[in-house]
Amino acid sequence: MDKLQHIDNLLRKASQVPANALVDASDWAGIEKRLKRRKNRIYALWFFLALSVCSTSALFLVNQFNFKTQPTITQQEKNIDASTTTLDLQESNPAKSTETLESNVSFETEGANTLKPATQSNSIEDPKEYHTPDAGTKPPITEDSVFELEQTAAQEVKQIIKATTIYQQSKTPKFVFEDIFGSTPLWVNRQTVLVNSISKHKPSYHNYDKSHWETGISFTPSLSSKISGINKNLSGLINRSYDEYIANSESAGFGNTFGFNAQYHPKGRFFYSSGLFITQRTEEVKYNYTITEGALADNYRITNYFDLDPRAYEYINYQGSNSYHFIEIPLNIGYKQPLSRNFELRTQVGVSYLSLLNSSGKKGNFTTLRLDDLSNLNFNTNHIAANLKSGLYYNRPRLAIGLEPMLGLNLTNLQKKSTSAILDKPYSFGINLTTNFKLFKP
Amino acid sequence: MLFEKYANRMMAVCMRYCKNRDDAKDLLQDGFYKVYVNIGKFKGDSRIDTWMTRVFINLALNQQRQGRNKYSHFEFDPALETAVEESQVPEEIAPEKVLAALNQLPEIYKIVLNLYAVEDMSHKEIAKKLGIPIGSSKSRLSRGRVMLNTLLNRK
Repeated sequence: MDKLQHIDNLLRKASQVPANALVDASDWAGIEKRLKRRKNRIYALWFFLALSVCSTSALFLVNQFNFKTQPTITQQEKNIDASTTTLDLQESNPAKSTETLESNVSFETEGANTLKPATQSNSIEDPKEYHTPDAGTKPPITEDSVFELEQTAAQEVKQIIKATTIYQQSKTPKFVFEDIFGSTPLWVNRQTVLVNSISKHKPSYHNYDKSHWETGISFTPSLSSKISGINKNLSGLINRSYDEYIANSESAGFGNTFGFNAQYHPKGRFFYSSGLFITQRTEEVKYNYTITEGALADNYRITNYFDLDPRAYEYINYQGSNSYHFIEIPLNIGYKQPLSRNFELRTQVGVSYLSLLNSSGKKGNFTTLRLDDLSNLNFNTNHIAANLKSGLYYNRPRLAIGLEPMLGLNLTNLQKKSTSAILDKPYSFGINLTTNFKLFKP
Repeated sequence: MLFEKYANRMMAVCMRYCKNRDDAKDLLQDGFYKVYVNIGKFKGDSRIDTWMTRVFINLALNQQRQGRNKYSHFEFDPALETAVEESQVPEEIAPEKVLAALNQLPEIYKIVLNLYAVEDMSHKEIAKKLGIPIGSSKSRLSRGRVMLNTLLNRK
């Protein structure tokens, strides 16, 4: 076979740039278009990343002042219950519990077997919150003396609490409290409950223990773009100048979503969201080209190009915003994570049904390159889109205000497959502003 | 600009791995897209066009390996399988004719011929790149040569 090594030489010579390997500007246009799309995707990614970092930083700062999430009023009521508190203390540190019983600080409560329900007050200022010691371990004492001791202890605790931040309290070693009180106070073990209940009297507004509805309005300014694909069945109909003249002249545009928002919050952290919205997806077009050749086409492909007489050249110069309006009905499932007394992180994911209401603007035809009015084109009416939102909510007793970065991506093509060689899936990303009113069952 | 400077050369590479100009243009666009996306990975330890050629060849081979055969639409001619060594073709022959003949070869022979004769890769390197035994590389090369010779003699 060595005789055939000259074949290799022939191949090497042929590997030099042949005449038909010369490329033109249209090849670069295709690459440029893809790079541009990638750049847009990267911008979107950075946008979300920056928002996430900002949100996280803000929440971190908020948390510095609200070290731990506070339970709701009901949780506080449950936690402040003396029986629960005593059990926790004794289980976690029996020795300390005994010490507490022997001291006069009066954080001690009844033994586990003789528990008495506490009153529903969540304040240490209410002397009834603390209970008499177990008759079996201590000599009986009068109600008045217990009341006095409790009040003294409450005052001391309050002073300490006022003098230190919650964060510092959580980091304070137990022996410091033992120096002060002669024992470890309950609230070192159950600091969240006691600190919150004693010092602030402020409940959280997350309402995780109550099912409720939230309704309100929602507005989302957004940036819209599209994922373009080619319909393989009709790809032969795409003019060779389409990418250069048309595709590269279309870019992202500003849109918005506005509507009525409804959320159902069952007990717990999950919730469901729906509503009725008017959603706008847009694209900016800036066409500026001259049609110098015609394209002969059958139903599936362009069969021939021919040069136009210069007198028949068509100059296309159009700039505007193409807009598609949809009615959107989303169905999302969400999860909420408390961050502080007022703030929480809500994340929603789901799908939307969209119905195309109207379209306006002009678009270059993929075969003839002439401008078509969007209102004359056939688009799919029914669409499905995927939604993703994650952001911060500020809660008040009857109000929730949300600021959420969101992404909505149409999963179905805008154009009909039977008539269009170019298939677009529009998407938008923006910031959803929501104001919801909370509705509780009476 | 990379494209202006190297597009023609890379197109020549693409045409050696694709059957027709349209497929080659697709590969050219995919290749340059990849080059621009991965330009940061070029460490400067070789010439930029050498690195780019590697990117293009790897892309073509990957596409083939993944079974997509995006750039190749070969219609295999069974007669080539039975080709025998024929009289040698003239040393001088138009490059376009050689490429046209090369494009008629089955993919497995064409790639080995390209890698061995044009890219100056050894059988060991080819075997590693294609995930085949060295013996297969050798046999594909000689078979490819015979087939190409046959095709060139027919013209």
